Amino acid sequence: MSDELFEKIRDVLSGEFEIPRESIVLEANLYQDLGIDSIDAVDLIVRLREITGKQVPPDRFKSVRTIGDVIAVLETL
Amino acid sequence: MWHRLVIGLNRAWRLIATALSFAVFGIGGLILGVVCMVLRVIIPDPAAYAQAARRLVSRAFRLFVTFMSAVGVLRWRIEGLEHWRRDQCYLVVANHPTLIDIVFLVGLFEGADCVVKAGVLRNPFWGLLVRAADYVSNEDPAVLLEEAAGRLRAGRTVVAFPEGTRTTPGQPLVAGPAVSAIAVRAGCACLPVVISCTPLTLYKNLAWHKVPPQRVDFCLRICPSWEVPRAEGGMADQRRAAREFGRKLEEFYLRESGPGRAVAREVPDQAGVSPVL
Repeated sequence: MSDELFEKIRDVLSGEFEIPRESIVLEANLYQDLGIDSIDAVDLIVRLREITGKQVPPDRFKSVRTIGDVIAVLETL
Repeated sequence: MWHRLVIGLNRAWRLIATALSFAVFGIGGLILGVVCMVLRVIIPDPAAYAQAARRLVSRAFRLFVTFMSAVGVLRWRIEGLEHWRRDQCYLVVANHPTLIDIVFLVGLFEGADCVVKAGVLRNPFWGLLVRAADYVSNEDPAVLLEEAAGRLRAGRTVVAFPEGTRTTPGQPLVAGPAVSAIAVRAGCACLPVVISCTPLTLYKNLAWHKVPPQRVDFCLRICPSWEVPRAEGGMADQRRAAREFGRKLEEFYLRESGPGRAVAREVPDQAGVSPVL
């Protein structure tokens, strides 16, 4: 499941956020390494909901730093 | 010798006047906050109450600008009023050279909504009034987008600084992501205002008591508006449109308030006499 989720997140980030695919790894920091800003984060939460059907509460997303964290949060929901 | 004494006295007076202005601003905000609590009882409808509070803020800001002019802290003028159609609503954007830009903008666009920093809502002097006016807080970006775009769509004027904070002196305007995202989600007429302040004062990280060598001249230049279409084609379309809008804003301000332009503009020798404020 988490591999599949990772690939989906990769597709969204590279396709819609125009982030180079090779830089999207589990350890990549969304804000420092991938250049996600506060508005991108809002869009990302919306896309994650569309992909997974799970709504990440914004306050939980605040503690998210890496792609791995995103997956970890989604898996607890 | 005599000349230097006059300059020194003038500066000392403006230091006192600046301190007085800050005190008036803080205490005024507090008093108006209390006035709003009374308004709350008189006007039970929340929307009408917030609208009344916003108008109160606009009028108080005009009075405050008049006060600062009267005590000799600043002079001001407004150009390009012909670009502002009173029957239309706008997303008003501006560069942000000084601490008091918002005072001019909200004073000018009566009853306008504006985006405020979360800290202002908790400010002991202005928090009460700002909460009463129901301005849009930038604390939660999701709420910010929804609220600001929603108000524009509802036909209200919203004032916002694209940089989200004061302009770094000497640097071109860098548009943050929020205002662009709001503009394309709402679809709106964008009315750009170019603010100049010479000599520059109250800029980022400058202590309030460092008063400039002479009285400052504020100029608000309203420029022709442009239509920002609402991006309806999904997220990718929205993001592309927002980036385009941000670039357009940056190019506009580079052209209109670049260093060459600022130096070339002459400051007239009389106080602001515009009938608007």
